[in-house]
Formats: sequence, C-alpha cells, structure tokens
Amino acid sequence: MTTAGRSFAHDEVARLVQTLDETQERLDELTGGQVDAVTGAGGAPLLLRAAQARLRQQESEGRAFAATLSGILDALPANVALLDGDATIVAVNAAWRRFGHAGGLADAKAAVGSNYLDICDVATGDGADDAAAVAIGIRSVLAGRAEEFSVEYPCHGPTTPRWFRVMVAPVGTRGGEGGVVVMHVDVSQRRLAEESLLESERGFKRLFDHNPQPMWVEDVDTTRFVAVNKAAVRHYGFTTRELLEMRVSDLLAPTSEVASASAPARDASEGVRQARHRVKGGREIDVEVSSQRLDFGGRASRLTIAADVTRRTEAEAHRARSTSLLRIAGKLAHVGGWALTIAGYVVEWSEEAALIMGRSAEAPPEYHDMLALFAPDSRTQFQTALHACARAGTPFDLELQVPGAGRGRVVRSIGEAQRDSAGRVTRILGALHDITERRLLEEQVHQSQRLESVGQLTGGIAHDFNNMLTVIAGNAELLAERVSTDERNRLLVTMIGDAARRGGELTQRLLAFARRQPLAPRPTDVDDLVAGIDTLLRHSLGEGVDLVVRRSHALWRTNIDPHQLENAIVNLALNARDAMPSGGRLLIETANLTVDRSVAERAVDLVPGEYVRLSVLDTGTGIDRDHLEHVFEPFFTTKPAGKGTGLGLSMVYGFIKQSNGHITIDSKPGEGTTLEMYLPRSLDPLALRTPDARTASARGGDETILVVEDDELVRRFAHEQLVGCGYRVLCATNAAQALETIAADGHVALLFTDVVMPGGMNGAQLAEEARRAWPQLRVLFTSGYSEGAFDDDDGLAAGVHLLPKPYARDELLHQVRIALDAR
Amino acid sequence: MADAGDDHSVRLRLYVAGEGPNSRQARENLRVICEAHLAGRHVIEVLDVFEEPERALDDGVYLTPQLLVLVLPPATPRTVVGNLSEREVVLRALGVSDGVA
Repeated sequence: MTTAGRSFAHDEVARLVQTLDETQERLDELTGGQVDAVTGAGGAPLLLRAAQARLRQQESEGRAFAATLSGILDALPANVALLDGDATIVAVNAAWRRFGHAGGLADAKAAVGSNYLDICDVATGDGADDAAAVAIGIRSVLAGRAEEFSVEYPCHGPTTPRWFRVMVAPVGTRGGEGGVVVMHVDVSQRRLAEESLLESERGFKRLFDHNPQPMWVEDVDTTRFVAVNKAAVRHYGFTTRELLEMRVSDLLAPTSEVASASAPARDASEGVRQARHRVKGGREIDVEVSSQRLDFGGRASRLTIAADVTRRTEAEAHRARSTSLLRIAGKLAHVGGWALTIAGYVVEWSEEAALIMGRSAEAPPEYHDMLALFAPDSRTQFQTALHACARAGTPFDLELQVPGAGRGRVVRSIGEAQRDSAGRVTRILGALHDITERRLLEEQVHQSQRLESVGQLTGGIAHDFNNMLTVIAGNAELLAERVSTDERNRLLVTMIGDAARRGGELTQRLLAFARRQPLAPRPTDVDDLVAGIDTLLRHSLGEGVDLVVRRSHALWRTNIDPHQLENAIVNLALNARDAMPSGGRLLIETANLTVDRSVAERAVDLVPGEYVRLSVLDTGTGIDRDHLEHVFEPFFTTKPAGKGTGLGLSMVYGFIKQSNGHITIDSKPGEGTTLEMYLPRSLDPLALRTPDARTASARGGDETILVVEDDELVRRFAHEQLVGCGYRVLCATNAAQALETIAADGHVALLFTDVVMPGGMNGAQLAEEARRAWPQLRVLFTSGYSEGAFDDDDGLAAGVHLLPKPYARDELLHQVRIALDAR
Repeated sequence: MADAGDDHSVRLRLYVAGEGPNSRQARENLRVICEAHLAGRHVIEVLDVFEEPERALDDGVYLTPQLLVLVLPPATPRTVVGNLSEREVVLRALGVSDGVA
C-alpha cells in the first residue's frame, strides 16, 4: 500500500483504523452518544462518525428541501425575493428574474446581492411614490414595527393596464431580524374585474341619476326614500336632502284615493298604478307609478319610476270636453254624423243623427233598414249617391225626405269618401242636418215677401185709380144735377157714378191689403167690440151656423182701428159661413198672450211682446195645403166665380199687418179652419167712440178754403164742388205755394190738402208748418192711402181730419163742415 | 437578551461542533432551560470548535458539545458534556434547583 511514494505495511494501517474505530466507540459509550466531536492536542477537532453520518444525511436532506423549496418558489405566480436583515437580496425566484427584464420594482438591478431598499430609494418616474411607500413598508417590517406590509400599485404595460400587490413579511419568528420576503403578485385580473364592476355600477348610477323620469329607491319596511334621482328632485321640487327625510306617502296628494294613501307600499308594490302626487308648493300632478322589488345595500327595497301623466290626463279631459262640446253643438244645430264602412256596409251614426232619423240612440241600424227610414224617392236618391261615392269617390249633398208626423222631416245629407293608402274608398263619412224648421221658415219668409211685393204693386195701382175714380164719380154727380130733367141721361150718369163708387170700394180693399189704408187706431177692448157686432154677425151667418163667443177674463186693450177690425171679423165670419154650406159652428175666442223669443223665432214677422189673440175657428170644409199658402194673396179665391171678390182675407191680412199685428191660418181639410190674429197690447186708456162723421148731413158754408192738390183733375173737382156750396176757394199745387197763399190772403180758415205731394214737403208736414204759424187754422187731409205720412202716429192730431179718396160730393161737404166746426 | 457585563448574570459558554446533531440539541435545550430558569439573568456564548479549536484547547474542552458555567477564578468552571437533554444535570451545573426561578 503506498501513498505519496511512501510504502507502509498493510497490517499496521489495519491496526490503526481498528484503534480509531474502538476509540470512537469507547467515546460514544462514555458519553452516551451525546458528543459530536473530540478536540485533540493537535488542535484540529475530530467529528465523530455518528455526527458525520448525521450531518451528511442532513446536508442531503437540506439540498433536497432547498430544491423543493426553489421549485415551489419558482412555481409561485408571484415575483418573490428573500431579503436579509439589511434588505440585501439573498434569493429570488424564477418569476422575479423574468420580471427583471420587464422593469418595475423588481427590475434587472434587483438581482441577488443588490440592496432592495437602495433600489426603491433611487426609483424615479411614475412608480417613484409607490417605491417610496414600499421602502417604508420594508423598513417597518425589518425593524419589527409592523407584522407585515402590503400595497397595490399600478404598473401598466404599453398596451394593457396592470396592477401588482407587493407583500412584505418577516422571515422566521423574530420580527425582521431574519430578513423579509418581498412578493409582488399580479392582481390585474382582479383589479380589472373590480374596475369593470365599478364602471358598470357607475353606469347604472348614471342611468339612475340622469334618467329623465323621476326615480327613487324606497325601503320596503320604513317606506323612506333611500335614493332619489335628479329628475325626481327637479320634478317634485324637494331637495335630495328633503326627500331622503320623507316617506313615500308624503308625496301622496290629500285628494288621492284613500286606499292608496293608507295601504302601505308593501301591498301596492309591483306593477303599474295611477296616483296623484303633490309637489313642493302643493300643486298636484297625476302620475303613473311602476315599481320593482330589489335588494339595495342588503335591504328589501323598491325601485319606483313615476311618470307624470298630468298633461296626458289633461289632454284626455280636453278631448272629452271637446267631444261633449261637439255633441252639444250637434244637438243645437241639429247636425249628426254618420259613417258607412264599405266592407260589410256597416252603418255608424251619432246620437244626434239617430234622433234626427226618429230613432233612439242605441245601436245603429243595418244598411237597408237605414235606407228604409227615408221616403221612397229620397231612398233611391241616397242609394244612388252612396254607390257613386263608394265606386268613384263622388261627394254628394242631398236634401232628403224622412216620413213622420205632419209633413215629416227634411234632412240634408252630405257625404265624402275616405280612402286607404292605395286610394280605394273604404268608408263614406257624412253629416246629417235636420233642416225641417229652416225650410218651414224659408217658406214663410218667401210667402211674406211675396205678399209684400204684391201689396206694393197693388198699392201703386190703387192710388192712381183713386184719383181717376174721384174725378169720374165727382163729375158724374155734377152731370147728374145738370141732366136732372132728362130721365134717360140721368140714368146713364147714375150708372157711371155707381160704377165709380164700386171701383172706389175695390181700390179701398186693395189699399187695405197693401197696408196703405188710412187707419184711425185707438185703444180698444176687443171683447166689447165683438159683443157690439154680435147681432150683425148672427144675422150674417144665418140659421145653420152656431156662433159661440168666448170672452176672456180681463182682456188687455189693443190699439187698433175699431171700424176696420169690425169689418175684418165680419169678413172672416162670412168666409166661414161659405165654408159651412150645410151648417156648423163658428167660434170667436179671445185671450191674453205673451210671445217670448223662442216662440217669435219660429214665425216670420212676429215680434216678442204682449198680445191680444183673437181666434176665429170654423168647422167647415177646410182648405188644403196647397191653397193655404195663397189665401192671403189678392184675388185668390176658392169660391165659385162671382161668389167672392178674393179680397176678404187680403184685406184682413193687410189690416192686421198695418196694425203691427200678426196673423196665422191653419186648416185641415174636412175639419175646419182656424185664424189667429195677434194684436199688440195697448196700455192707453179706452177712448170714447167719436160719432161717425159720415152720418152727418151735407151742408155748405162761406169760409175761405185752400185746396192743395197736385193732381189737376182732382183739384178742379174739389174746387167746383166747394164753390158750388158757397165757399170761397183758393188753390195751390204744392206746400210752398200753399204757405205763400195762406200768408198773402189772410182769410184761410181750412187747409184741405192731399197727404201725398211732390216737392219735398208732404201734406202732414205742410199742416204742421201752417198750424205753427196760424194755430186757428183747421186741417182736412185727403189721401188715396196713408203711405208714410201717418205710419208712426197713433192717430190724427186733434183738429185734423181725414177724407179718404175717392170721395163723393156729400162726403167732401160733410168732412169740410166737420173740420170747420170742430173746436 | 441580557447584557454581557451584568454582575448578576450567569455567564455560559457552549462549545458546539457545527451543525452536529448533539450540538444543535444542546443549543436548543440550553435556550429553553435558560429562558425557563434564568430569564434575563444569563449570557450565553456559543463557540464552534471547528472555527475556534484553540479556545477549546484553552478551556480544556476535548469533547463537544460541552457547556461551561463560568465562575470567578481561581475556582474551575462547572462543565456539562453532551446534548444537555438531562435537565437535572444542567440545572445543578447552573446552580439552580428545579422548580426554583
């Protein structure tokens, strides 16, 4: 056995090793195995075998553990470094090393051996503040002032945001003495999730806050507001703070339904409901509230959205009002609406349309039933129009007859097509207008106008006739005196005179119809007047007709010409008698009557006011409808030729109209005829009846008379007559000349003047002027009619007399004498 | 840890052989016994014979681990050899009896 070139005996080596083994065994025995090493005089300690084996094993175990530990550390999803007590990096894991290349707190400088605090202290840029915070944390842990330290910091990559959490914890059990572990963990995922959650929450918050609808969250148990949005604040006028101190019920208006006010929100929970809310200041609004249960901060809550529908509610109310207005307007105007849907021929109509058609306002009729409501001719007309409208969209405007009570109704139906987007007619829309009353009124107006124009024509002719007849009659009288001895000629002259007088009577009636007869109205009791002519009437009616007079209690007075009224009554009685050839009954009835506006509006020329109504009813043959319209026209008669003049009713009509009255006639063939005269009430006291001038005897005189007459023939006639009776007669052709003559002569006692004269001043004005200058002057008017001159007067002034044209010689002389003798 | 120069402190010197198993036990056992009986009144000096063999020789230490309870000269230190697992022996060497703080 050799070593280092020296050779030695194998036996000796074997003995020495045995000794060594025995020595060690002996030491173990002596110390009970509690000794690891022996130190010899040589100074170098000797580790005993057991200790050596133990150490080898420990070393191997340590290495294995270190490898495991290193593997674990490398596998950790974190950058881990172990610092010693001075913060010098003792060890790092693989992640830390990798991260070194990417920068950050654990950058390339942070390799094993560097001092981590130094690295943190010199950090600059975005991460400087975070690095400083980490340095403070590490120092605290190292010094045992903190158990551990942890902070999150951003470390954004070039494209992606990144966050880390750095954790510092002491190694070992004795504070930071044994160093610390620094660990950077990537928390970007969690952080991003949190950020995203936060962003999402922020979004919802914005959605809530900026929602244009008022929204709030209320606690289900306390019913207090726990969150309100801006719209709620804006809309309700309360501040956020105020609202958060309120309960939901505080918003309910006092007028709100009791149910919703008392029922806690717990019941009226989800879904949509109506409510009336009160905003700050007390104004009330209508809202539509919808709620949704939700968990808010761990409390059972409700999210509520309140939509203000006040305007919608108002609009609905407005629409309802407008509909009602339309309905009322339709009712007032008698206008209804209807529609016909082409598909299925479905009829719709408004309530008013139904009433116009004489139906109740229930369901509209079937198409054919609707058509059947019209008179046959109208039905065809309407149907044709509807078909044309449905086919070609032709609009129509028809007047249709609807059979019913009396003459039925007249309706105007206007229709128009409604088309779809393709231009096809889908419906016909129409209006239905009841024009029955308007038609009746129009007829009345028409009739009244016709009578008016006939009257004007008649009046004009009659006036001229009167002048001519005056001359003929007057001259016939003069001639009669001259031929008084010649019997044959006297007879001829008498015939001329009679014909002229009859002509005069005829024109008198025409003038009466034309409302141009001279009238002398005075306050009159019609009952008394009728009583006064009772005998005359009974005599005129004959045996077969029974006269019944019904007086009225306390009948009002009326202002009317009593003679003419007597004439009118007799006239009507005679008409009635003729209508009852085989006998019957005539009823004369009076009544007080107040005509109000509504009654007056339904008649033509009837003024509202107080009237005495005089009715004359017979049970005669009656007059059929077609004739009835014409009965007041002159020369219209249903009597056989020669039996009547056809002027009776015309006279009555003209007289009543001229007396500001109103007259109606109604008749049913076979039942009789009713005439009603409305005479205006007079509040003046009754006048005494003046003696009938015509009964006085004709006498002459010697006074001076001024005759004013523009018609030469008439003037000459009057002049002749008056001179013949001894009067001194002056003549003038117009008013101006007359006044000159009176002034120049100085003896004129009577002014005999025509009412109607050319030259600007009529007879009435002349008389007024003359009497102003000479109050003693007497006045006698003559007139073919009273046109204009006395229309507005109640009668002739005292001392003023009227001689109607044509007049006979006797009448002239009588009137002249009466005028002169009057006081 | 108590101050080194405290007159009332018990001064201890423990010789160990690196991380030898008995040495480690001895360190741990001593620490536990001192904390229990000499809290705040002791100073421990740990010496590794592999690093400072001459001091072992100076103290006449041949066997490691070995505890020396130092006393003022000329008296010789009391010694305990082994891993100090026999508590009574160590306490006697420290001059305290079990159950007495």
